[in-house]
Amino acid sequence: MNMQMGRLFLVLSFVMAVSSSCIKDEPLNPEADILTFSLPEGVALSAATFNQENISVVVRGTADLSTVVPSITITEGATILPAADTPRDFTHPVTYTVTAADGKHSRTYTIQVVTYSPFKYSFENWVRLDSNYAYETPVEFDPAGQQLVFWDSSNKGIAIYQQHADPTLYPIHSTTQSQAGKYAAEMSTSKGPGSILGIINIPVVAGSLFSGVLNPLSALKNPLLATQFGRPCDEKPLRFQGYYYYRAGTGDYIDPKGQVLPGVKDTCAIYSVFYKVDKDTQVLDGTNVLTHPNIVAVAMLPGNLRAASPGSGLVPFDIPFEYKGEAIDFEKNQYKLAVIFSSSYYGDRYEGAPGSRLVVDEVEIITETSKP
Amino acid sequence: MKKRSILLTLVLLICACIGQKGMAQSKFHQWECQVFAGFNFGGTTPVPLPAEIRSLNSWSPGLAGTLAFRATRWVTPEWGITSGLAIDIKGMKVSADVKYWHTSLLVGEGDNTGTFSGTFSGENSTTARNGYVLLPLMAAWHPVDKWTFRLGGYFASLQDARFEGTASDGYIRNGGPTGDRINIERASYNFSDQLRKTDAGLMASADWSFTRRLAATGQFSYGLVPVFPSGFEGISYKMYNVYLMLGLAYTL
Repeated sequence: MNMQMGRLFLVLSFVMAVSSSCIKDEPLNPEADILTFSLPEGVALSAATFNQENISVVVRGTADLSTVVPSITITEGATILPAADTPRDFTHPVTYTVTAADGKHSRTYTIQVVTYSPFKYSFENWVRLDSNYAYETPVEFDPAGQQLVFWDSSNKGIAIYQQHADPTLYPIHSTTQSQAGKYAAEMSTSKGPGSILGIINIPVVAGSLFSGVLNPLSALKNPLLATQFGRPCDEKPLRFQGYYYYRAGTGDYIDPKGQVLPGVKDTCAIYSVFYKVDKDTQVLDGTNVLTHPNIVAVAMLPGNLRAASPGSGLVPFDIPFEYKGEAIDFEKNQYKLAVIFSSSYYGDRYEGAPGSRLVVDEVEIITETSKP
Repeated sequence: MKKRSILLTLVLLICACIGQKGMAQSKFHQWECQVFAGFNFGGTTPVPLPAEIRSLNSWSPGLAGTLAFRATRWVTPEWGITSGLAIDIKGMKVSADVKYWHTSLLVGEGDNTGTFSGTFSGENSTTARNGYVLLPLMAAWHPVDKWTFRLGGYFASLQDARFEGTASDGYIRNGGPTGDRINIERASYNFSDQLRKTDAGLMASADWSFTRRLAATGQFSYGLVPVFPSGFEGISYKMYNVYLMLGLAYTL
């Protein structure tokens, strides 16, 4: 009898502990993504480019966009409004709202068809593209006045682990030190946060602004994969022009391990890469933007001008695109143009000198068809 | 230093008890003093497990245990009051598959401090090993020969904290389920200095005396205070110390 009581007591204790530890039913999926988006082959010229809730697709100039049925896949269990198989008029940006299976989370996507490549960048219009964060990104407009999400920056990556209320505390922001208009784009290099959760060490963060998308998907494994350079381009670029001001940080040059490299001076990056898109290569990233065989032409600010801008204020630069000799055929092939600025040339590897500062303004790609 | 003074207190208590026992004459108003040691099995765990935890892949108690001194004042032959002092190490190593697990972690130093937050789906491994100095207060019941049961509560002070782990083989959605997806091969976190410095809860034990001086003892403790303070955002649910100690008690 006594033994039984004791056992009962122990068993009860166990039951209490175990019963409260049962695995519950799986929570309803809170994700609400458009996973894939495409327009019919007769309409689209390229695969869709995703930048958070902004999806852009390059279309044929001749295509009728007034009633197009896209093909869309979304997160399992989520719902989309309007229904994916509804014909839509894509002559203006259209939106879709995806609601997660849990009913609580939703994302509203804007689909933008692109028939136009901007070639003149004045950095006058800065927008909070991600409402969760205060950083700003310059945007461009097409001739009809539609906003084009064209630029992206390292601000997006920094906001993952560091949030500022003031947009000017992010490394890329607008500045009134402009050549024309009200604003120019300013980038600066500063000390980084150090180790991020034991995954990567970020001793230095540089300000990088580029045409393309910063996709953090694989950034923790290899930060060079995050910078996806280039936007569709349908004209042959000849010259890369603009105004810049650059001063390297006067302090220590720090390598990706956080070690000081004595005697090394920081330099800025100002370059543009014109490349061919094919089935296997939709976009170039930090690992291959200067080395990939699909590169057709590069315009790179020469080394001596990368160390500092001559003179005191903003000074003009004018760099020719150097072609590798391959024939260009806009009928047969798709091309992209990457325009890249950074306050530290190797900033994408998390190295540079804190304090380096780059300002760019009134940048223009002179193309074969540019009007003089 | 701290550990040494705790041990010293334990030794003094034991000596005092032995002295006291010598003086005790009355059959009913007796002091009973015990020392006991045992291993702790359990977890620092949410109760019940939240839906974010999809499966437990492994659990091990580690080498964690209790070394305690216990004094019982028997008021009647059946009823008494127990108190004492224990060095209690509560530990576990657990690996679980989680889905949409919300976390917010501080990263960086000084001016560069920021928050990395989002919902993680993947594998989470946690190692906890927290040393407490524990003071129990329990009613003792000795209904039959050889068996003694106790029920009451405890108060504990955290002396030595370790709570760390990894998130691996998964992804985090930045800021929440609708943010950018970031693959995580292996990230580590350490919440050791964020643990609450005190714990209190319910305690129940059963002793089976198999010789005049030796008893097998089982003691269940159930924390009622979350181990992390309310402002803590590293883990979105509350966690409690829920442990069962199995060991031997020796009556002095």
